[in-house]
Amino acid sequence: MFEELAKSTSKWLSEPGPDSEIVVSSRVRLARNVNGFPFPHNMNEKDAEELVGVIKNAVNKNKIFKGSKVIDLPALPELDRIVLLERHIMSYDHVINDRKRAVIFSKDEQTSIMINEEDHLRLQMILSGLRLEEVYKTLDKLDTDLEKKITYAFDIDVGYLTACPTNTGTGIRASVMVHLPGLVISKEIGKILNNISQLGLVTRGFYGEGLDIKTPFFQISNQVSLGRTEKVIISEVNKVALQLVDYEKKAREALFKNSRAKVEDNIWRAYGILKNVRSINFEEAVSLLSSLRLGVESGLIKTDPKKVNELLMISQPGHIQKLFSMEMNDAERDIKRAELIRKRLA
Amino acid sequence: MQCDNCHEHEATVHLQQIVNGQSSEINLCDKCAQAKGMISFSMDKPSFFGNLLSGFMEEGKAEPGEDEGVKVTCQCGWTSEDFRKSGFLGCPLCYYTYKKSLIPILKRIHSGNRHTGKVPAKIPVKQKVNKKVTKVYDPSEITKMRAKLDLAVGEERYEDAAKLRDQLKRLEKKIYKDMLT
Repeated sequence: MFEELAKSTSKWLSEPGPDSEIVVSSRVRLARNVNGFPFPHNMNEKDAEELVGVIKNAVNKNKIFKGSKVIDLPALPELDRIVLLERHIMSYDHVINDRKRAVIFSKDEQTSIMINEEDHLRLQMILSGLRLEEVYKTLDKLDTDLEKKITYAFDIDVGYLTACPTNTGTGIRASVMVHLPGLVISKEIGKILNNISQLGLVTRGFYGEGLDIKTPFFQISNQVSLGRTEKVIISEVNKVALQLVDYEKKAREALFKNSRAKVEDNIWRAYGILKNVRSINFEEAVSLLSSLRLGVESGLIKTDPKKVNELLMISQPGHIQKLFSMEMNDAERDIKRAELIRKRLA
Repeated sequence: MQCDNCHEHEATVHLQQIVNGQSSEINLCDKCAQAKGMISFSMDKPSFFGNLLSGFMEEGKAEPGEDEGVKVTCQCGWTSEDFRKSGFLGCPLCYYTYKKSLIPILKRIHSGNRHTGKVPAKIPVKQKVNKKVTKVYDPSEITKMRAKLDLAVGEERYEDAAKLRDQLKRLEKKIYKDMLT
């Protein structure tokens, strides 16, 4: 399955959106549970079977999922599950756990529901750029449609009841994925991420040790889901994202003004490596593609930005294996990844 | 630096998470990082929060009725010990079974312990797990009243607000009474 899917880039990454040169994507998820059933981790097989049936019934007819079907996961090969993980359609937990569980996603891949993950339902929507309000509005509508068919576990005092108390209340997690190379190069990122955490938001990113450039992709999301309305939670994340856009723009301006030669050299070197590389792991690929992205956005390198985003997507381990239709070990994958990148940038 | 997962290979992926100014780090080798899905940008991993939570729980008080080491078990089979160890609840009813220790936890991880967001069209009556819902409450009355109360407070009509608050309390009490029977 998904051979065609793996060849393309998800819309949330390929399409331009508001401020999408810095805010790659906006994502909201809602955690919901069906009343009368134990939470997934505490469920026997019979319950799980019945629950998946109840939810299937409710989601199959929804028009957001027109043309899509609920996919039973135990039956789906692991590589296909990994492809869905890499496309942000489902979580790592949903890839590996061995419960009776399922997933459904809309044709455009922007809306999806994980069935029987940590909670009975995880409704999710992702759009490119900074569009949290729009995302929530659509997701809220889907949620309202579903609650006509499903009685959610809800308490008048503490709100939606979830398997983990960290999601109780609204069950909402609003997040943005941001690309902040300017703030990373100028070493301002540490201070800024620390400030964001003071505001009660969670930041995550990953770093490559031994490389001068850290991969400057970060995810910022709310931590609190109870005691504030969905609207307030979303506006808080939105505010921080806008602030980051402003800081990042200023950082890039200052870099090009004060150390132009060094920054340009960095970008051209990254481009040179990517065009000639013979073996490359995913982490290094992300680092270099991040520099290339900066080069394209600052007008230095004339390449379609879509191409860079596409490489960020298909350089992932699952996608590489899917595209070459074979299972590979790390070293084999690194060679094929290099081949793919060279070809696309030629 | 060694991989935190397999303790065999050199760690190459370093994941840092900052929560309320507290930073924690996980170091993984290429292989384990890929296997754990760290290669994906979205790392909505429950284990981080699970760990965070059990930190809170250790400081938590014993369950009601647990003072002398008596274990409390929810009707779904989830025990107070399961809750404390994992940070997870077993079913929606656990929220009532473990209410006493849960409320302070909710207060600490969130901003308050009172839901102010969306209310679904149907609210379930508290019921036995695995028994399907037959009776639902129409929440409109209570939501309307809460909205009125917010408005009254906003407009500084404190006398009206006090009246509404009492009415709201009575209505909620009634709902709870019904829920428990």
